[in-house]
Amino acid sequence: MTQESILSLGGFRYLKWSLLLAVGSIVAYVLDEPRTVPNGGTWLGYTLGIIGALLIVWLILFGMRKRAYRSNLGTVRGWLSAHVWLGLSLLVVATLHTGFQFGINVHTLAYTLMVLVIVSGIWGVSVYMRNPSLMSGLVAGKSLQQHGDLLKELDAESRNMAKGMGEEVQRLVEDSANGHIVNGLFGRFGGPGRCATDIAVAALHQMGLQGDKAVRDLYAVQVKRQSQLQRMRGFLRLKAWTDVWLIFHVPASIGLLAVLIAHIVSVLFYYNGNVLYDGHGLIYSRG
Amino acid sequence: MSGHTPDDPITVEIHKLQRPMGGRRLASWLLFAVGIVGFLVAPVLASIYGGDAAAVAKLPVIGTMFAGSAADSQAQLEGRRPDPQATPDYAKGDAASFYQLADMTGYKSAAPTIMALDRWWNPGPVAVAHQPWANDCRVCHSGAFTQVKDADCLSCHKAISDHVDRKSVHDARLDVRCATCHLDHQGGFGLAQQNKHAVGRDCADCHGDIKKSYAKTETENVRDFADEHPNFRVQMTQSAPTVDQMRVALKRVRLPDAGQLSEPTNLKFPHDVHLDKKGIGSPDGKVVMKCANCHKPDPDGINFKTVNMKDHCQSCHALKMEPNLSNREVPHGSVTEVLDTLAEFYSFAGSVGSVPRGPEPLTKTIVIKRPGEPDLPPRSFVNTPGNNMSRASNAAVELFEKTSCAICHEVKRLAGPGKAGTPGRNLPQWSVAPIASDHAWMPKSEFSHASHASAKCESCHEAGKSKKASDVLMPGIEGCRDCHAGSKPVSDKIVSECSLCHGFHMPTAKPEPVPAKPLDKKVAGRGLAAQRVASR
Repeated sequence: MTQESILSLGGFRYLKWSLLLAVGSIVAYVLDEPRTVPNGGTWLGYTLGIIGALLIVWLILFGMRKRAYRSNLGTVRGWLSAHVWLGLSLLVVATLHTGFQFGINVHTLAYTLMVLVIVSGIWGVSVYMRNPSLMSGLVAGKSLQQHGDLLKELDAESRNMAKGMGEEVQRLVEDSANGHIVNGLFGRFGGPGRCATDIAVAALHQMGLQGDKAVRDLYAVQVKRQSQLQRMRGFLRLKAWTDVWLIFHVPASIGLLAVLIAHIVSVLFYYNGNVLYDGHGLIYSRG
Repeated sequence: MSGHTPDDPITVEIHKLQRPMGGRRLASWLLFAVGIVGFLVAPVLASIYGGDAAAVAKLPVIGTMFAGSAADSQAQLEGRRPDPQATPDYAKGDAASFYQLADMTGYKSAAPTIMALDRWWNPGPVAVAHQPWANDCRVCHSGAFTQVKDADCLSCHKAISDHVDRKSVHDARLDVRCATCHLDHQGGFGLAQQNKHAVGRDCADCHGDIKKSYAKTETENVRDFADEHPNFRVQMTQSAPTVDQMRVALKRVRLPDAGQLSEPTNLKFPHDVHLDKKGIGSPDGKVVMKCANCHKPDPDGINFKTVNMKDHCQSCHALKMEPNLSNREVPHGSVTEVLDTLAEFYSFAGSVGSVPRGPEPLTKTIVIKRPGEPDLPPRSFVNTPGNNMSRASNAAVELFEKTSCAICHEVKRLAGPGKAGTPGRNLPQWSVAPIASDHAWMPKSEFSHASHASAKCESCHEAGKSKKASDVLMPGIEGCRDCHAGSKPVSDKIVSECSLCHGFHMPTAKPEPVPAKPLDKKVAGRGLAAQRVASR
């Protein structure tokens, strides 16, 4: 049986909720006849705004639920599925809340940040859907530490073989063993570069051409080390790209929360719109 | 297998690489702080302190940040509200450039608060008339966490009137705020213009059963222009003995579905004769007259200038005393003035033995006669037997009863003598019936003739067939419905909400404007507007 993905969880349960919310919002928007032009201050505008704000808060709470290991409030996979689908419906709800009024102000800033967070979320979902299987293929059921141990074994073998060989060979083997697995932050994302093992492999290849079998054997071990490194680097590169979107997604969503608070306070500060209690016991139904 | 030491470089590096990437928490806090400080705290402070650098400078920490900003005192902030008595800037320029401006929603506004922070909160362009204060929140928003108060609006919009006299009509539905209908930050178009097309659905809440709100009303129920709107009421003069009484004796009468209303104008003016397509006699020969020869539009495009004798009638209807000998005319004034002029003219003519005339050639006189009357030249009285006064007397009878006054007016002979001490006191005396004064025909609606300029006058006003000045030539509702639908869209017709023709703020007969809503006592005393009101 194929395991359900976070998208198809529960027979696409949260996709259905998300579609219900998005289609419901669109229908309400089309049917609504605001007094002037559609905007965030009409009855529908406020309703969509409140739904959108609650959604944003709930979506951010996913970060807490993810860490609350002892929580029994649904499974993390269920939360993630809902997080993804309802997060997508937020795009519809919030866009209709704006009434397509945009400007250079805190209100449009909040909207823009929200769109960036959602777009990064879509990227995150695609990365999560694709990379883990690629990554597990690369590490072939072993942990990274086990792969590291293999490197160390190859290094010990190389040092053993290099004993009695020239000083130059010993230096090549030593440099190869002491080189970093990845070269800094840039290297984690697969940046180009020639590491000490690459240099050792190239140099030993040249020496091996002169016919010394011991050197050719050492060369074969270093080539093994090189391919082992490439396998690990491939894994780490995918892991880096999988991790890095969260570095954008999470802080941007917290920034959005701040700007959202500023947006809500500014609107209430000057009571824009026309639907709230106005001191005469009347609540106006048309914004 | 080599020994596994936890601090060998490979193990250490793998440990490091397996840790999730750092900086998430720091970046989150940083962005949160920037969002809250930059877009919440700073604009609140900017809004509270405006451009008042002195007050901001006293604040801890922030004071040093904003030190040196342009000083702007509370008085200056208040002073930025417009003087309601002053001519608005746009009115000083030509109207075209103003309307051009009104079409633009993307205009730019000055941002006077510290670091222009108010503009970050501005949710959208304000109406073009409010554009100078678009980025100065507190000019209109006098308090925090409260809606714009009516007092804020009324501090500038002093002359606005209410919907009805609130002393006689009590209906909670009238307790609306200015901003209930006038929603700003929705684009550059004017707030009254905004409502012209947007308001109407609410009117029927009361006007669908108007007697429930005000039992004494003469207004009939209205729900929609298309099929639930009574025919129009036109305002007409009622008969009264004097001009002044007639001016105020106005009554609104509903147009009948068939037939025509008649207004006691006391004027003789057959539109059909003047608009005869074959032309009408004038000193320059036959001319074909058009409506616009006499009816000149006001610059507002709604009303017309009052038709007057001098500009519109006298070039043909000259008031000549001795048309064969002189171009001299009697004044188009009171009976006494006319008689005095005649008395003086014939006394002088008698004393010198001839009629004095200027260097200009005689202009042709239009003689108006009834069909069948002989074509006689105008009469002359200078050389008739008798004394100067008897000649003046004969000329007066001719002028009043035949050639001039009686052509247009209802004149009636009275017993003399005339006004004591006047030269013409011993001449025969007349009274001239007061003419209905110029008045609005439909004072409860606004019909822009300029907006309907593409239509012909006669498509609504059947003047070409009108034989009497008393004919009320105002069109009924059916004509309007040829082009105007109600609130439901109909193809080839204009959707017409109530506010397309009617205003909410009624131009009542009361000369004193009634405030839209009494100021809330609890609110008065706070806020810029209230302070300004109090300072007057």
